[in-house]
Order: sequence, then structure tokens, then C-alpha cells
Amino acid sequence: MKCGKVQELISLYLDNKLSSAETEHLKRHLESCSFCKKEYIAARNIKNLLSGLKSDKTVSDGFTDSVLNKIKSGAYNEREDKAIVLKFIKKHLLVAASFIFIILASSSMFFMKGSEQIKELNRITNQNKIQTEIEVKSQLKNNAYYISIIESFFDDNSQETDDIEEEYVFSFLA
Amino acid sequence: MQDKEIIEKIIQGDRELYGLIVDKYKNKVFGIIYSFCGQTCDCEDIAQNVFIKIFKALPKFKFESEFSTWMYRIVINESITVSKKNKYDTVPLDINNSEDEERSNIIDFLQSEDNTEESLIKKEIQGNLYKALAKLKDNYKTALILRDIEDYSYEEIAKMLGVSNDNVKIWIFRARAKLKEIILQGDCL
Repeated sequence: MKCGKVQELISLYLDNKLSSAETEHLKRHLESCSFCKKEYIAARNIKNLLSGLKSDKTVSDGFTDSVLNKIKSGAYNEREDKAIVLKFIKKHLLVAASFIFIILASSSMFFMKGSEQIKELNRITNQNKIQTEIEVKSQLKNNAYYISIIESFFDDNSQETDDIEEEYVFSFLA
Repeated sequence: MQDKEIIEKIIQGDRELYGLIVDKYKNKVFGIIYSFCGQTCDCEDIAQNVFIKIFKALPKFKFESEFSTWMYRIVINESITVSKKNKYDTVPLDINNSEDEERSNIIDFLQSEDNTEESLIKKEIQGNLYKALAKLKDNYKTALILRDIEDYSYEEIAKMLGVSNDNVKIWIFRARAKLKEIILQGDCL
């Protein structure tokens, strides 16, 4: 029996969880292996120390009545629970209101800018000059938002894109 | 009356019947809390609060398991929470000894075949066991406390924690190994 396996068996042995055959094997090993025997003794002593922590105390005589009285009088109180929640909300209302204001302000600025840029995009694409996607991007460079608008615009109008490119090529050659 | 019948009636409005549940389990609940916290907290007060918490949670009991299994899980969770807030006093070492001598004494004590007699080193180690237990992972600590202090069987522990017997075996084995390591290194002293 290998010593590594013995450690696990010692734990089960202390809890009477080994079969008779396993117990015999373990005992024979412990008789012949001084290291494992010391491990077993240490494990047994710690187990005994832990069992010594068990309290023989019991609760006092009025324990049950005390619990029932607390339940009746308000230790368990639905109104109290709701009051605690409301108090929490009031306390954090200012923080919540500030947070909502910041989100709304940011959103309105975001959409205002968005509508301005869509107008700009329409102006560019409605010019008589035929422009490819690359040229439009170069005019509105380094702005990921514009690029995403453009990409979605051209994706939605893929047929127009092809027509525009074809017209551009032929106008160039003309 | 069986627990489930009592619980059904309590949920329907007969709150006084909860006294039967409290009477039946009060000392076991107190014992579990004490095993986690020792003398560092008012265990009876905590036990009362736990019973109030259990009462509040009764409408959530689904009658799929035994009531005691469901109840003990609440008790254990509360015990773990409370024990984490405690600061455990350290039983001082013998000031006449150096740290190495103390460690040597600990090793000798643990490896002694007969250490039933009371000794200073035994008191030191036992006095610091709560601190040592606090260093274990929650699941290891819980399994070990329920086994070695509260003397529940593997099967009972598995039910209480909602895990398999094999899990319990492994947790207890690892908890014992780690606890021994902590004690031998003097980490709890």
C-alpha cells in the first residue's frame, strides 16, 4: 500500500468508513511504516482536540418564548422591512437622480451629434460628384461613429453602392 | 405531528405552532452556531435571530426535501457569516520557549500516542483551534466542524450541505490535512 493512498484511508478510518479488508491493510501498513503511523497519530489527536470543542451547553429556559415574542412584536415585521427599503432608496435617491441625469444628458448629446452627422452624410452623398466609400471615409476620418453610419448606409444600399461605383468608373474613363 | 404538517399550518397562519419547531431544534441549532463561533459571540442571541430568519423564509420552503435539511442550510450559512466577523483571541505561547521550541512541542504533542492528560501545550492548541479553523475554506471548515465537533455522519452532512457523500469525504480529508499543516506551522498561534 502506498503511503500517499494511506493518508486518505487514515481519514476514512478515523470515521469508521473502511471495510474490514481495508482496515486490515491499513493496520498492517501502519505497523511497518513509522512515517504513516505518526501521521495517523497526529490526525487522531487533532480529531480528539476538535471533539473537545463541543459544547454541552443548552439554551436558556425562555428561549422559545423569546423567539415567539420577537416574531409577534416586530422582530419579524413586514412594515419594518418595507420601511428599511424606502429609507435605503431615499438615502441613495440623490445619487440615483444624478446618475440618471448624466445618462440622459449624454444620450441627448449623442443623438444630437448623430442627427447632425447624418445631415452631413446626406449632403456629401447627394453631391453630383460620385464618391466611393473610401473617399467618403477619408473626408470623415478617425471617427468610428461616422464610419459605422457609413458602413450601415452602404450595406443597406448595396445595390446603390454598386451602381455608384460603376458610374464612377465609366465617368472616369469617359 | 410531522415537521411538514406543522410548517403547512404555520404558513396558513397558525404562528404559535412555530414554538414546536423551535423547541425541537433549538439545542442542535445552538450547538452548530457554537461550534462555528465558540465563545466569541453571543450564540444564544444569534440562534434566536436564526430562528426568526427561518420563520421569515418559511413561505419559500418547497416541501421537496426534509424541513430539517432545508433549515440546517440556513443555520450553517448564518454561522459561517457570523464566524467570519469574529476576531479570535490567540492563546499566548509559553513565553519561556522560543518559537522553534514551541513548534517542537506541538509536533511532539500531536505525535504522542497518549496525550489525554491536560498540559499547557494541549490548552494552547485547543485554545487556538477556532483561529485555525477560520483559515480553512468554508466548505472544508463546515464539513469538518459538522463531523468532528458536532458528530454528524457523512450522510447527514451530505444532506445538510446538499452535496454527495464523496464530496463530504474529500472535504473532510482535505480539511484535516490543511488543519494539521496550520497547527504545525504555528499559523494559529
